[in-house]
Amino acid sequence: MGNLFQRESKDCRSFQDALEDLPVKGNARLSAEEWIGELPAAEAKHAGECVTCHTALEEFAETRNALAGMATVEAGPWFVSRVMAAIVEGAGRRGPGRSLE
Amino acid sequence: MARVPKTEALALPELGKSRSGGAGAAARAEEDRELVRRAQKDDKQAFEELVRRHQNRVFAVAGGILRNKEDVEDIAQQVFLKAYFSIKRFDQRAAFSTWLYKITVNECWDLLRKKKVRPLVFEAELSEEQAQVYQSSSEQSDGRPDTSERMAAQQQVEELMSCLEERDRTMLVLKEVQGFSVEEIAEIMEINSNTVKVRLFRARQKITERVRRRRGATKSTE
Repeated sequence: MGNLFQRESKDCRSFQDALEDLPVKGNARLSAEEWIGELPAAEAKHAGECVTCHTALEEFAETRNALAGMATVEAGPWFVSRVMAAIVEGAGRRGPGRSLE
Repeated sequence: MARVPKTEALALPELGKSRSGGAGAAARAEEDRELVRRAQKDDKQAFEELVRRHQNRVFAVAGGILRNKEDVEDIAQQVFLKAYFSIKRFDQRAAFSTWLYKITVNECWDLLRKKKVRPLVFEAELSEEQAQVYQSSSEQSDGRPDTSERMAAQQQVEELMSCLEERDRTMLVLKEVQGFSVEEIAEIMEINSNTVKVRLFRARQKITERVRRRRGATKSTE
C-alpha cells in the first residue's frame, strides 16, 4: 500500500483533505465509486487518475462500511436529573461556598 | 496526553461547525457561551441546560471508546460533574463542547487504564443488562436488524478494531462514526492535525487489511 503522506503532489494533498471532509452518512454503506460522487469535481477526477489516492479512497470506504454496524449508546431520559442530583450531593460534600470551585 | 482538562484552549473552529456549518452552529455556540457565563455565576439551571444540550454527544463519544453501557453512563455523569466543579476556571477561549469532549476522552482513557483492558473484550462484552437494552430497543419494529444480528455486528466491529491502539481506535470512532473533523479531533486529543491524518490513514489500512483477510477466509470456506 502506498503512503499518501509521503507524496509531494498538491493534488494528492488536496484529495486527502477532501477525503477527510466527507460527511458521515449514518449506517449507509457506500462503495469507493459512490464516495467519488461525493467529492468535489477536481478531487473526484484525481481519484480516477492516481492509484495511491484511489487506494486510500477504497480503504476509507471499507472502514466506513466496517464501522457502520457499530452500536451507539444514548442518554436515558433520567440522565439530566441524575447529574443534577449528583452535583447537589457533591456540592454538599465540598461545603458551603465551594459549589463551583 | 494531559490528564486534566486544560482551561486555556486553542482558538480552533468550534465543534460541529465544520460539519453542520453555518449560522445554526454559530448561534448554538453563542448560546452555550451565555449558559457557561451563567453557570459560572452559580446558575444551576444554566448548567442543567448545558447537560441537556450536550448529553447525547458525550454519550456518543464515550460509547465509541468504552464497550460497556454502564461504564458509558458512569463516565458521562463523571464528565458533567467534573465540568460543573471546574467551570469557573474555564475561560471560554475554546468552545464549551470542545472542552467537554476533551474531558470525556480523558475520563474514558482513565477508566480503561484503571481496568487495564485492551479492546479484547468483544467476546464477552455484552452484559445481561446490555443485552436486555438491545432486546427492548429492538422490539420497536422499526425495521432495524434484530437483537442477535446487532450483537453479532457489534462483535464484528470490536474484533476488527482490536488490532488498533486505543488512541487510534478513539480517533477512528470520533471521525468515522461520530463525524468529528480532523481539526476537532486534534484539539480534543491535543495532537497535531497532520498526526491525526496520518494515524487515521494507517488505522484505515489496518482495518481494510482485516476486512479483506476475513472476506478471503469466508470465501475459502465456501
